[in-house]
Amino acid sequence: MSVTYVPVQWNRPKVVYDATLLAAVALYLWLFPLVARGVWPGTPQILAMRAWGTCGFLMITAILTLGPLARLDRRFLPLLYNRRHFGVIFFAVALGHAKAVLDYYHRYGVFGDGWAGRLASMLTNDTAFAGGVLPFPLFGLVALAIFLVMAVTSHDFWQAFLGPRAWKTLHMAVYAAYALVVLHVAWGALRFETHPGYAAFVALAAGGVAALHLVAARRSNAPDAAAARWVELDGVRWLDAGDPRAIPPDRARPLVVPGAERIALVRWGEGKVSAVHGVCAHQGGPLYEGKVIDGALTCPWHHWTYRPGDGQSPPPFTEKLPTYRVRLHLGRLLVDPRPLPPGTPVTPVELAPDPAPDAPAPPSPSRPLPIAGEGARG
Amino acid sequence: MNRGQRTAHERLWWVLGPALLLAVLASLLTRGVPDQAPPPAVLEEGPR
Repeated sequence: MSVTYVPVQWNRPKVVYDATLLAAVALYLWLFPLVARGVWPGTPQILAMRAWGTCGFLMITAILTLGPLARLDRRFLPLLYNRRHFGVIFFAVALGHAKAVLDYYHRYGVFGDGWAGRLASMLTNDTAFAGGVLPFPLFGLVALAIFLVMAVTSHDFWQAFLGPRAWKTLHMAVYAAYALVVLHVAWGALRFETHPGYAAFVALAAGGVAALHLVAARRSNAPDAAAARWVELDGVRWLDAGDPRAIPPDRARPLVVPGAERIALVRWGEGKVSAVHGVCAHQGGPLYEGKVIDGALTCPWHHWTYRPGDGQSPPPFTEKLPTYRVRLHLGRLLVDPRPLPPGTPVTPVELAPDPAPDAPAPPSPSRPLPIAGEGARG
Repeated sequence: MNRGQRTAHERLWWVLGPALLLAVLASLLTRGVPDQAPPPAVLEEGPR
């Protein structure tokens, strides 16, 4: 989040990320013709075209695996944070492939050697379209157009201008573009290169991306299967959120509400536990997977922040989340799942300090946890 | 991620994943099939 316009907020991780990617791309483009020369006896132009093309296919496949990988293992999160940089570099590589194709096959078409002429030659060229039952160059061209729109609008300015939800919807077009890329490869390269290894690789890439998304979705939806437990106290139906000490310090955990969005249970400060809406106001990110940084619950997707005590973003930001009343009862955290208006302050549950490691064990393991604080209702 | 996004995302990949694999398979199975018959003129012309 930023309140002033900065073209790119460069920091060390971004520089390292981009430099690593660019170096890897350069190395690949340099090595590919040297290795491939022995496999495909093509001209240097054809080898260059395939180098850019295969590099792009590997990159877009890798980009699409980052989301599910980060959900399955948090160690992938740093790769996810700068995914837009990865996407823009990928677009440049895809453009390199398109340029190599237009330079080599369509430079001397009947429409002249200008860019419009080369494009017209590509779209009307019998040889290109007769390579398969389907016009594979067209798939690549439409995919490239989608990637162009995505690359151009990848900047924060466009996210703010279009609004987070419209922006996210626009960028979900990457799935359609990926499908077009797979069609482009299947009806293009795979029809000319008949070694089964190439087909197996493309199927593995596309199948792997789909399988990873499905496994991550299964993991992500798993908490919903647990049955909700209700406790009726003082005329209010509370949701039993379990032992609040199970929430690690400065972390959030999901509480599934039947028929409604998840609630983020946040342990913050000196043993405080609060409940706020589990969906980030920015792009619907999972706040219940976030952590508390500098006293604010931070969304794992794009680091938008909210104060756990009242659901408000710290000034100068103005986003607000609904909050929920919480109370402690017999050592269990109870949450009233009726949302309070966004930004409503609520009294957190306060846990007694953890006993020191060398302190004597409590007299009875079944003794309820001491109630050091009451819920918002008092 | 909200409930709608999560379920929509999962459904999308249940469709897209098999569709992509089918597309690759279809391409392999139809490989070598000519796109269209040669123009009639060529057939009628015969050897010169």
